[in-house]
Amino acid sequence: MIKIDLSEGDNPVEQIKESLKIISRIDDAFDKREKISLDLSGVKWVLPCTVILISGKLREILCKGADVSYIPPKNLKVKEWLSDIGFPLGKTKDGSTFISIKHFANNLSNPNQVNEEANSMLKKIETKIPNSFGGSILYILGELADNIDQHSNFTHASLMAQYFPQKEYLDIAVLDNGISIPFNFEKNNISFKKDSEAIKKALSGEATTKKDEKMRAFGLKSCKDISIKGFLLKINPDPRIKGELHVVSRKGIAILKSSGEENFYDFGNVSLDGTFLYFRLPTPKNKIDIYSYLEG
Amino acid sequence: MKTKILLSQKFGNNIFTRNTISSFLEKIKNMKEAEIVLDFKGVKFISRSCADEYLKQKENVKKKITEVNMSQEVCSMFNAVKNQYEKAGFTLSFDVYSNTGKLIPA
Repeated sequence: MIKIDLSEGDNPVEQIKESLKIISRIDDAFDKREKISLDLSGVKWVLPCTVILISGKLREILCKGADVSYIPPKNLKVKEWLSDIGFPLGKTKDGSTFISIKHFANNLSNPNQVNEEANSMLKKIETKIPNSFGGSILYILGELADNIDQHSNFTHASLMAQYFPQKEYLDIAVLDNGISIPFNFEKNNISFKKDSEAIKKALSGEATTKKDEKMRAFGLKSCKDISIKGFLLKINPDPRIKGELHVVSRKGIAILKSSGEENFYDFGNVSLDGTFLYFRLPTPKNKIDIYSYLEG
Repeated sequence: MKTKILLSQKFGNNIFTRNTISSFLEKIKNMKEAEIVLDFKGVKFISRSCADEYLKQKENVKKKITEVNMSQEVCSMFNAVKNQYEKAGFTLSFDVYSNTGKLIPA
């Protein structure tokens, strides 16, 4: 039995670390061909980052034949929310403030698959969030979908989004179980000392694995620019509203905050097979014009 | 011969991935028609990556390709990519866009 203990509060970093430890235990149990039982009974607070990381892993091992069960939380609100968003296997129906968990497996015979999946997932997202987000969410999710499609060699990918009307921010979580940014850089002879440095290079747009093509490496950089500069500093100078972008890939993590603070470090004893991006985007006071962030 | 293709019917309202565009233009290369009209009606959004891929690949398709019914949003993305290229000192033939960023009617 894997007991799930999660920190309470809105800070994603702690829950991301805890989720990676849980994933590591799930992987161990799966490698030993043990039945995987998760005990969520004590969980009182869970963030979308945790939901996507754990449900993505469960979905992946279920497809490989794992035997999985779980005890739901005793806390009724948490239990209901997990049910609403489709934990752990995903759900087609979305809520008024969320895109429920969506998982999909890679179909190599269909070059349009990621585009089709992304369209189906995102067609209603604009109805869940205030107009002031403009095209920013489609932009960010579109670029992430393309990154997964182009670079990751994933077998499974997952996504969810939750708008918090009281707190006035949107959480978006996107996960793939592909080759990770550091491994992709190693494959393409792009040097780095730590996995977190590889993430930093990817976010800065200074490294591309498509060296023979002009004007590449804009995807992650522009997502970072829109989410940090677009949402956090200019549109929302209110210090009470804190926005963040987290990127986890293999052993590295990048945490970029609204204050301009950037942290890059490697985990000691956990890692992620793949790449995870978690955006917390405050509701813009004025409609965001994404195009002004694409040209500089 | 000329043929018209409604992109929203092929891809949905949003076009996100480079693979979608590159495989589509590959098919266009192999079509027998010499002139292709791409109808953007119903396409609400195109990602920067897709717009970039489209403009690069279009140069390699030896056919007359005309775009019609582009929304302002889609047009803005193409022009943002165009401006990125210009800032970086590259030139591509963006023959369907005027200097003001408006689409020249087909």
